[in-house]
Amino acid sequence: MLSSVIIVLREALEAALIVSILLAVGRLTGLRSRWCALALFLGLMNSWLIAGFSSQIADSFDGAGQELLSVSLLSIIIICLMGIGIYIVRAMNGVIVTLRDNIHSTPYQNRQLTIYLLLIGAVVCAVSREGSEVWIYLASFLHDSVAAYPAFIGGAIGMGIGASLGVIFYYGFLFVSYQHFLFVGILFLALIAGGLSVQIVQDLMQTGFLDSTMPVWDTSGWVAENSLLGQLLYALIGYEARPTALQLIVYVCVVSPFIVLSVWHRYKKPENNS
Amino acid sequence: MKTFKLQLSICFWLCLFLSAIECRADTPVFTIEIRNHLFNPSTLVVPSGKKVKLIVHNLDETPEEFESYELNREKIIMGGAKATIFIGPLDPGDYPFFGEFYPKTAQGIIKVQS
Repeated sequence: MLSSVIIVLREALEAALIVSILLAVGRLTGLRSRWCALALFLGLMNSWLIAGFSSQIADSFDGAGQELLSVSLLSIIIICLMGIGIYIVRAMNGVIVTLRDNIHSTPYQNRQLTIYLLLIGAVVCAVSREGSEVWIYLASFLHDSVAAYPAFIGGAIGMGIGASLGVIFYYGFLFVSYQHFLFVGILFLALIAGGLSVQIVQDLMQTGFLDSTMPVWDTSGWVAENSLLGQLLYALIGYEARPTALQLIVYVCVVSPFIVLSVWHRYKKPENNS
Repeated sequence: MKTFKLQLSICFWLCLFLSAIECRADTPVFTIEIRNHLFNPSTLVVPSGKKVKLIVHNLDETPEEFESYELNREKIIMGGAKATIFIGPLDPGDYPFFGEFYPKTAQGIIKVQS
């Protein structure tokens, strides 16, 4: 049962972090949180679909279908996170009026729709990706009634722990970033996006499309990837004990726009706000 | 919208490229079977400094996930299915791998030798 707790927890943690930080971002900019329920529901449906068609997906594109789907979902999440980063900057500028101001003009509603779509998109893709693996794992026990019970219980426990960690992270993020919302918010989005991009490179190397190279360093002696800290860092910043040069380059390329965005906002001339 | 179109076209060319890539003649191919939640062979010797193609054939009915932290690879292999995983080039040494769904029994090592 312990192994099922760990397996489900690992997947739930990755999705929970994304959900909790985006919920916090929405909360801090005055958005209603109802988008999250829809996103979780859609993500769940999608993850069931993916798990159901996993054999066909795996066989497609000369056996590279699974990785290609993963790369596509990760890319969509990264694009959504970048859009949300821009949204945070504009919210800090006062360009986007929050719901508290109760303004219902059409341009305002369009902007709101965009940000809700970005938030929902990111969560749906994250939950689909992680959830499908959990369903595939749990479904394998349907044939085995003896092992099914502890596996499902372990899965529920793992899900619960993941959700709890997400809640802790949500409140922790609200507490920390209330004072420095822009910097902390964009920093977390940047690190998560960077971590996802590292996974994209790994998937492409696995299919042979990208050539793998020797790792640049090996920090597994300091923080092992399969330790608790390693797993937390993996979910949060995409920690890799043995990153290749390409992964480092891609990480920097994905994180940089976020940093540039926040620095640019910090030092630009103040606009005339109404 | 522009970024999305770019992403879409990249995906398209990616797919085209992948379907065109055949196994290169000089890429060694190794096969590992999964039977009763065990890897067979559990120890594999591969050459160093070269890209290696692993074919993992899951002979069980239930899925397994081939995973290795040292190799930085993880792939779910459905029951009865074969999966292709490229590893390397690697320095000489031992690179353990395991089946994430049955970690106690499904374990193996890839020994890289020059």
